[in-house]
Amino acid sequence: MPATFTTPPNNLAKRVGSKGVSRSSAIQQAEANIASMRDDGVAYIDENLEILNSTFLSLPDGPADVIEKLYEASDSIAGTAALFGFNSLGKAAYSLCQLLSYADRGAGLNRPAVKAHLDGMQMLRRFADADPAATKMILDNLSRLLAHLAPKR
Amino acid sequence: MIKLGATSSVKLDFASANILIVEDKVSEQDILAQILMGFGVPGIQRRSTADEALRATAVEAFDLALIDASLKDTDGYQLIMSMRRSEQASIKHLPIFLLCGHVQRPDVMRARDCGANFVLSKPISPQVLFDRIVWLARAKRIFVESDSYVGPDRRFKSFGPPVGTAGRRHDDLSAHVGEATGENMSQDAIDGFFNPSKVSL
Repeated sequence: MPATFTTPPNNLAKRVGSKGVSRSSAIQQAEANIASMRDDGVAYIDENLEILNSTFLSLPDGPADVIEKLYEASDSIAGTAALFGFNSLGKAAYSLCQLLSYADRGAGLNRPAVKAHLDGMQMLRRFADADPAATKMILDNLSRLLAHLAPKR
Repeated sequence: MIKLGATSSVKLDFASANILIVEDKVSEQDILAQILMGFGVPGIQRRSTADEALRATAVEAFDLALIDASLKDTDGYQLIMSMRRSEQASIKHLPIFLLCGHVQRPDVMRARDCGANFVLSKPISPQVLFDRIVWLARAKRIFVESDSYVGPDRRFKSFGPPVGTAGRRHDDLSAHVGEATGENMSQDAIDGFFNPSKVSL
């Protein structure tokens, strides 16, 4: 069929303007709401860290399923940690996702590199960004490791 | 480029808004719901699967959908493609943000090609969500329906209709767009176009 071009009504447009809640109030209230669920958020992060560690120990049993599970838990941490004050932990989790994605591109799973990430993430969870020098060192090391293991093009 | 404008002075009137969250992890549903409640949204519907989301949109009208890329049954990309192919205008034209955690260039390309309005990288901060909602409300992207694609116009720079077709005006831009200015695409990115499947690890 030939392509058709239309301009459907934009219902959102009616909701943006001079009436309602201001940007600053909306953001302030949303941040307060997130802060109120910090305990749940930290518990969620810890739950996923636990999944990462326990799953890693069972790696020899079924690499494909296990890697998927590691990826999901790491992705969950990457997607939430910064909201609860764990910026560096989120970055390390993102790095682990990247590392796990290499396994699917023929690089294979590098177990020591995964272990290094898990150890680093445990430390970052404890520091909670309170020790900038240690945090930087961990993230720099993980970054170098990831660069070293990136599949060659 | 689309001029989206400043967002600092605008207000959101979400007093009667209805927003759909499609996310399989309850904790992450909670985070999104808390942000939206902070914006004053009274109607927040949560669904965990693509199937549940399709059933919800069939019976209820929404102002916006936030859809996670990784769902248990069908992934978010497929869900959006199904919605864009719906016979029901309220589903087909629904503004959609696709939410991604670990996102790479091929994921963004895939999101664009499935018909999402925007891709948001997690963690989703209130600032980012507020601003993207305002952008979406202000954007005047036309809606395209063709055999291979249904969704908002993927071009962010309008060159007008193709040369030689009806409707081309004297002030449309030249058909000659010049040499590429960006870097060559990586193999990963190219693979993403030709084999846009979820990475199975």
